[in-house]
Amino acid sequence: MADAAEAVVDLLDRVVHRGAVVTGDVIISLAGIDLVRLDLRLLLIGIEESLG
Amino acid sequence: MSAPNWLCAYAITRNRPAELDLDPAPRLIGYRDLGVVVAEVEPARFDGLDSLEPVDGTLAELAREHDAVVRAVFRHEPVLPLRFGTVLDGEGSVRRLLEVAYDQARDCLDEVEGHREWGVRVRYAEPAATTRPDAAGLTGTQYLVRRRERLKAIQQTREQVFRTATRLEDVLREHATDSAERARPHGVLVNTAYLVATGREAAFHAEVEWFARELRAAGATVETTGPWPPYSFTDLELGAAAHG
Repeated sequence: MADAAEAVVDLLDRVVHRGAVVTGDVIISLAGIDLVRLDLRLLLIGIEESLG
Repeated sequence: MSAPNWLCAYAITRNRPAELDLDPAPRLIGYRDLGVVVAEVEPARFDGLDSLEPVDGTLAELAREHDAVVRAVFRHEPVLPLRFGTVLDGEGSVRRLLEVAYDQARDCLDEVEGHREWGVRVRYAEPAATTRPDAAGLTGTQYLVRRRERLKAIQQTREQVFRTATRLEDVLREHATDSAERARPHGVLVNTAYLVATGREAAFHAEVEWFARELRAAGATVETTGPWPPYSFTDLELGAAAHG
């Protein structure tokens, strides 16, 4: 479980957090992800791992 | 909400056709020598994603899909990954994006070409300083001496682990073209992404292994992830300049 959670953290941190951002009038939307909550989640998973 | 010409954009790459082993296969929309990998999307797919949902939830699933497309392209060509959930208004908009951001995108693509990203994490769970030595048969003074020795040993090990971890980072940076520090949760000393030229990967991993042995002997662990497409090294805004 910790490994699976960690793999998701590694993935989300890259796919959702990084990568080039498109701005301007060509863009319809970026997925409405609340990055603050994502940060919190990454942190929580990190804590769970260090305790597990 | 149905808008079949809305396109989810995954990555910018070279404008060369490649067989992508995906079903349905995404399309490449080209401009000069660059192309954007896109697929038709129903934007409602991205509604209401909850970033606190469980590990096997919708966000993780969609992120895996995104990653699968980027990787499929990356197997053949250099990629400049676009942020998850980038939705553009049809082919015209995709071409316009490439026109506007052409120089920027091409420079970045040139920089990451021939490289892969590797993640290195050093974890160190310090032994609890609060565990007390067994007091049986010891005088008060002996007990205090023993306790002080134990704390000192813990301190020395910690310093050694920190020194070795710092050296690891210095050495790996020399083998990498670029590096990016990532968030470090509690108990994680190093969490860094490295952009490594494929020709230097063997040397890079040999160093990781050497340091992993050193650190393991001191009670720390080293984990690597990868290879990744260069997600952590394409942090730029495309299109902003043209619109002020």
